[in-house]
Amino acid sequence: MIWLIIPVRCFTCGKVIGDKYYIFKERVEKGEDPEKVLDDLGLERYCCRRMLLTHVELIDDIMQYRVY
Amino acid sequence: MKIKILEKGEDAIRFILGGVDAAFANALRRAIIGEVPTFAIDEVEFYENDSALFDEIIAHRLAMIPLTTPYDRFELDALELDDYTVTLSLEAEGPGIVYSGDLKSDDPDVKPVTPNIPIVKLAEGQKLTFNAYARLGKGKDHAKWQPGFAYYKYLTKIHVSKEVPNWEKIKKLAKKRKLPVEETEEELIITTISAFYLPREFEQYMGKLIREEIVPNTFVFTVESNGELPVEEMVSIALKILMRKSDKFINELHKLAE
Repeated sequence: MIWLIIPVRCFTCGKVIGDKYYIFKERVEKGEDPEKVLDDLGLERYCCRRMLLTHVELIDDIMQYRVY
Repeated sequence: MKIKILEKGEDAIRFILGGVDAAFANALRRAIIGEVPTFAIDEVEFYENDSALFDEIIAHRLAMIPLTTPYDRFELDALELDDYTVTLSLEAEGPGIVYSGDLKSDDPDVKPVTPNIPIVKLAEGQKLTFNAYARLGKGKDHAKWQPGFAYYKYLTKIHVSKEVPNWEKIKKLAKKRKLPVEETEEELIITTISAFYLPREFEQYMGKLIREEIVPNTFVFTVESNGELPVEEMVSIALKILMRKSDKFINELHKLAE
């Protein structure tokens, strides 16, 4: 799912996931297994897990343009 | 009504609810989700917003942030809500990420549950200034006021006959899922205090050699909190609200009879 910035909550169940994305990204980039990181973050349901797994952050590309 | 607590964590609780019918279990579930009030941002006034996100998107993201609700200061089980308003203000300049922890609340009891939720990312020179107003509300009006999740399943006993080839595998699986397993001469009895799915290979025995018995009037109830209120408080406030609503209903009936 392509969004400017990580959504605050899971679309399906409503659990707060926004605060977990940067931790997830950092740990996975260090080479940890995403499955283990998601379990550690307490994301049990697959609806919450896909929110982090499939997120593409675009705000770094978009924010350089001015908004009028 | 009997409640037996199976496990209790910081933000989730699981218990067995006995001696009530499905209608009551569902009433409790709906009361927890839809009637227990919490604080959430309801109105935002923007003074400056140069960020890549529109005002409306930022307002929506702000609303989704759970705010701590001081349950001892307000009568949360009252049928009429307090119209107390908390102002959360923010003034930020890029570069950097603006987090929920940067919101300055004028009431120290009402603040974001976690300080690490990103609201927006600002580039060099971009500014964001706004005032947000948080109010008490109910989940039935908007999901942002939902205190958490509540769901239940029937408590069942799965009887597995030992004529089923490879029945040890089911036993191992149940043990792994931490379900209580009883064993008699002819069968295994698994009590499903959490969801239990049989592997595909056993599907052909379902109904005869493997049968599921529903324990009448007993439910496994799970309540999760977003952090606004402690879980046990969510359940007790929901029960109080149900009680008040029933009292009101009976009073109305008496009035009609007169």
